[in-house]
Amino acid sequence: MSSFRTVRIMLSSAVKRITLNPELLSGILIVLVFAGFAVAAPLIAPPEGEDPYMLPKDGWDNVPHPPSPEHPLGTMPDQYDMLYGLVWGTRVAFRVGVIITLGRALIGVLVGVVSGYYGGMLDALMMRATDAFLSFPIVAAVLVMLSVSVDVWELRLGEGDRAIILALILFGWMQYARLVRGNVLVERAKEYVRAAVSIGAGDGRIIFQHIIPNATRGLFVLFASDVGAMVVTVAALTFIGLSGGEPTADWGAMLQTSRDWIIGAPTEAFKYWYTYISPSVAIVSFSIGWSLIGDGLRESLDPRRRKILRRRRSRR
Amino acid sequence: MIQYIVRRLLILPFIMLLVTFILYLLLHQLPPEQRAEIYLPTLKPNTTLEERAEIIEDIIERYGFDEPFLLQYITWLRNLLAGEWGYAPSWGQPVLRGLLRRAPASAELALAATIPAIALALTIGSLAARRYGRFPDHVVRTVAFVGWAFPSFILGLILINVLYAWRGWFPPNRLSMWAEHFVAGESFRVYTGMYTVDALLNGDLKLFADAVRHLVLPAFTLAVAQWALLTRIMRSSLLDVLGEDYITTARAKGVREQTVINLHARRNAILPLISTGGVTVSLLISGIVVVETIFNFAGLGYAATEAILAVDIPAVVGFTLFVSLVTVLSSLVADIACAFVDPRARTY
Repeated sequence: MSSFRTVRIMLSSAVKRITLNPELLSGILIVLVFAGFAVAAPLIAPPEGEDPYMLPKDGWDNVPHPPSPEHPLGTMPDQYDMLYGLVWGTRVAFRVGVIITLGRALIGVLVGVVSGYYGGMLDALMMRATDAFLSFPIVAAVLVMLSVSVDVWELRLGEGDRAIILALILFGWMQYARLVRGNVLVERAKEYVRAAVSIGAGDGRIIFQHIIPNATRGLFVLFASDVGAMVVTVAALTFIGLSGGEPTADWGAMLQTSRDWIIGAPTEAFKYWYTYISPSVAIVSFSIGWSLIGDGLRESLDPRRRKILRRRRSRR
Repeated sequence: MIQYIVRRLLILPFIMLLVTFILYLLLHQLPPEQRAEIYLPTLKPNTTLEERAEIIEDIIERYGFDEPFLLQYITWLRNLLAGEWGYAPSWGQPVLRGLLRRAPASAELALAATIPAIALALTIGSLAARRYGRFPDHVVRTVAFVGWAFPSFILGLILINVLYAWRGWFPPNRLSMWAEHFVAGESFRVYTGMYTVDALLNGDLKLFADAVRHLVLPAFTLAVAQWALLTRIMRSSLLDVLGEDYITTARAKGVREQTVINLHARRNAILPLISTGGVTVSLLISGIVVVETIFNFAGLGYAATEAILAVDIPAVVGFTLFVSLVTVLSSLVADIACAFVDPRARTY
């Protein structure tokens, strides 16, 4: 069978799998909408200065202003435009989510493959190290990294973005490692690996050509769920104040700027609803979109679910 | 079984050792003067800069901050074990004492969130599994999905806005002003540090009601994510179990459906939940930091945020050690529980 035909068959079965899976489909649609905003950012909200991620200021009033023709989504305290922040925040969200998840996946695959393939003492040690890393609640790890980086690497608390990302990568690879190691152990025992060994293939070749492509199957589920989760985590940490300075186009930072105004005025509790509704909707839908993709992928890749479906159908 | 417990207990210090090692690797990046500041006691107001520098030199020598890495690590470790965790300027007290004083508040919050979450997850999760594919299952799945994917800090924000700012039902903080004064006074005896429990033990229902009222929102916010995760796992695991052959056999034998579910299915379905228990604690702690900060709930999490905003390194390090220890211990308990329930899990 020609490889072109194989590709076509794989593509059409992939498309079918996606369209017949409502969760996966809706998740992908949501993420695509965000991607669209990210790409179209310079058109929707033209940047005003050197750095497009600095929010433009339109006045000096400390009080947020409700939506108006110049500021369709209102303004934050100190008159930062919300629409701008929301739209450029899409880019930041993708960047943050993908960088952290890729970093985690890379370290995880490295540890998992080495640990699973070579086994023995090395495996035992690496797994104990994984356990040790797992004992750090993620927020604690971020706090430690932040406190060290403020003094050592001279990151002001305002540039804590980088420290948070680094902390989330360094203390978040463990799930990937475990998953990959499990898969590697399974693959290593299979016939084709033994065949490769018997014809004299070296370790490197076996690992890169055979083990890795097959052992990284279930990774996409983890990956998808993680992107959403990471954006939420970073937003939460930024919100509780781990990032000072001028607000940048980041949904969590926007919420942090408006933090004191969220409970509104003494008699009108919802007076400043617009300061937190739009970033909240953005964060929530971004998280839901990626979670849908993750869940959808998991459901479609799980062979056992179909078994129960068949049994149910035959009972009726 | 005993062998398994002993073996796991022996691995425990090794893991804690690795944890402290990783932590110290990060800590060591700081210059000696700053690390010496960890052990700096409160200075008298008139200390000059030179006197302070001298005291720091003194500490550096005493604690050996200019010696090779491993030696320093061992000294630091010995100090930790001796209870010498340093002094936290942002808390105004020694680190260990600060942690222990705030711990009951977080424990109270954690219990108030986790116990209902587990109970509800078990019942609702199994309900959904038994009604697979039908309406209750879809409802549960959707609610659980949203509960998990919805960021908890945003839920907290919305709850504060609606149920406090607008309706005034559930205020932030741990207690109202009058209650704060009361518990600090003479007539109130502190037993556990958890205001709800202590209020009951003191026979003060008014205080109890106040403490509960303040506990509702933070506990609910925490509980939602927990419940969502546990429900999904329970449902999924019960579904798997119900598809097993021995369930079909039991039904074929004529065993009542209720017994099938309660006796055979539930027991086997519980296992994944127990093993996830260890991971849940870690997520719970991270959640506690965010939730306590949003609701101004004076526990460990709130203290940690105060510490990082003031870049109070001893406090942050102390907090991390403390919560890591808690996480390791709870994984241990979860593993032992797993091995207790399922003999096949006794692999170590």
